Amino acid sequence: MNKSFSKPSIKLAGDSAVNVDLGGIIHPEINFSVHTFATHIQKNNPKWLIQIIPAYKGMLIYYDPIGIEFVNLKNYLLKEFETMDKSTNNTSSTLITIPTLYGGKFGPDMENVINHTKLSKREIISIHSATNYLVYAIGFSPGFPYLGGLSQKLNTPRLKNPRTKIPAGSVAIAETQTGIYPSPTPGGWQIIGKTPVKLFDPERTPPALVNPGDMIKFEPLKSLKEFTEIENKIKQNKYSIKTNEINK
Amino acid sequence: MKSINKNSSISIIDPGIFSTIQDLGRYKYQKFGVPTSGALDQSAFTIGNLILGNDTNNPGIETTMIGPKIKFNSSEWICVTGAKSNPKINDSEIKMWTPVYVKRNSILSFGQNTWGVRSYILFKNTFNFEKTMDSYSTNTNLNIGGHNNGFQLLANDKISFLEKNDKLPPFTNNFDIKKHYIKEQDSYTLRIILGPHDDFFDSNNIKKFLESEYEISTQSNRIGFRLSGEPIKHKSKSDIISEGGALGSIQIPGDGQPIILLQDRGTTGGYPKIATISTIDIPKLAQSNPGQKIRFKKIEIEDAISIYRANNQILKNINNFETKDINIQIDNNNNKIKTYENIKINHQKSFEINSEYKKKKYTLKIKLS
Repeated sequence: MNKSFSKPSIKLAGDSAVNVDLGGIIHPEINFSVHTFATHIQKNNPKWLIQIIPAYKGMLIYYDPIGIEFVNLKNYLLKEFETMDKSTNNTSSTLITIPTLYGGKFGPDMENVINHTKLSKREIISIHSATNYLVYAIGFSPGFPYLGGLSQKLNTPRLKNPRTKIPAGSVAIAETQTGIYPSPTPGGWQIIGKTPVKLFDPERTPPALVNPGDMIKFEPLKSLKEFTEIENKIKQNKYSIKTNEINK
Repeated sequence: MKSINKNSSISIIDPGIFSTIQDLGRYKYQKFGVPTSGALDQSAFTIGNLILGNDTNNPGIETTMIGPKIKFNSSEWICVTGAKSNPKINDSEIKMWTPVYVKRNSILSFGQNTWGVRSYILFKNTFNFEKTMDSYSTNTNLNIGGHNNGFQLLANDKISFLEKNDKLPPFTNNFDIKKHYIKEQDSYTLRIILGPHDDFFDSNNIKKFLESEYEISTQSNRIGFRLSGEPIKHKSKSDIISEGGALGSIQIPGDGQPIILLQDRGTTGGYPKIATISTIDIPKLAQSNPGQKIRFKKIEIEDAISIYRANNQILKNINNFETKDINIQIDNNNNKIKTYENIKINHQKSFEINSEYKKKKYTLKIKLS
């Protein structure tokens, strides 16, 4: 059985939204079907559609209950899922390179990770920056990418005492996850570095740098000087973020 | 002789406990992780705008417990709705739920709330600042939106209005508080639709949830209301793979004490949601104080949607008058001075037009019969 395209399970989320689940676990194929279906509905743009929030294995669809009968909404979603183009030929994805300065004052928890994993700083950087991470979803805070695919070798538990404020741009890991904090928020992940790139900017269209379904790659910076140079270029609007189309 | 005020604005003398600029929310940015924000009591907010003859999304001020003290630097039409907050203009009480003309240099202030938590100050005019991601709403946790980088109103803030002239709110409407707004009560029963994760709980725990009374805790704000009462046990897991959470969803974290998610909630979360409050009952929560008790009543989705639609139809009737366009020509001994075209008449008794003739300014008062 193809696990990526099981029949959607539609659950009630009040009188103005439904949860559409396409699987039960975190899996790249299930996540791919989520984004394919969300994009398909968005393209159809039915008049009752308000917003779709795709996540790991399903999506929340906000609708206008004046615009459609609930039973018709349900039938519509099942029918569209049945009939949409499910070809997985289109396996290309946008790879976004995130320049990152690891350790030092920007990675205050690097020591914790070294102690826990018994790896050297150099090894940690090389493992963390070798993977193309899939952006499963955006959520938690504006522009925050839920990334999957962190190497088991870097598996480190969360901090015992979460920080009340994590600086924007912090690159962090926790257990099998890694992420980038777009804005200062509280958090308990181990901070190993920082990027000068703005993941979220309300003035930008769209405001989030990465989209669900994109891939992220971290590129280690050699020095604080290099970090500052990029930071200044960003301020002057002269920095272009490296993106490539790649095969998944 | 009136001149057009080029500096129409309000100044905040005292912000009150917590006052923010809100509209109906920023719905199109949730997929980027941006909370909707927006007025917590969308009913009071919408009605206020309808009474003023506005677009329902025209921004206003949401107050909390004790409202602000505001100086008007220009004459403006306003309407105060929501919590019974005893609004005054220069020490004289004003009526809520009706258009009020506030003259320049007057001060709007509020007394103690005698019912409810949040009042709305709606304006005929529109604030003159850039929207953030398509909305005026303020999210003070993330510092997004509003008039001042996502902050609540602060003393000495000055908020300008767009220059809009010759617009008067309609003088008659069908507004009836008994018909159009929630009843004043000390405790409410909120209608809920089970799901999306009611299958995380056995029938005994769902029964417990539906039959218990919960107290609104002091840790309640625009993100969510925490409740305390009978704990609800999960069958096994107390977390889910993170996913979007709808307005009014009731999540049950590990300790079993329900949390109701409101307008400033994060777009995604990882606790199972036993049920979701019907949209039109959210204002009851917005007007409930910490310490108040609430109960839940299960309804079916078809009923929830019927109630939603009926409520929408009732609101439509508040100011459902035909708008007519008229043309006015002013002449002096058959010399045409000026023509005004397509002036919208929306059941008004009279209105004014500011005009100029031979470098003199005139205000023309026009009465309709």
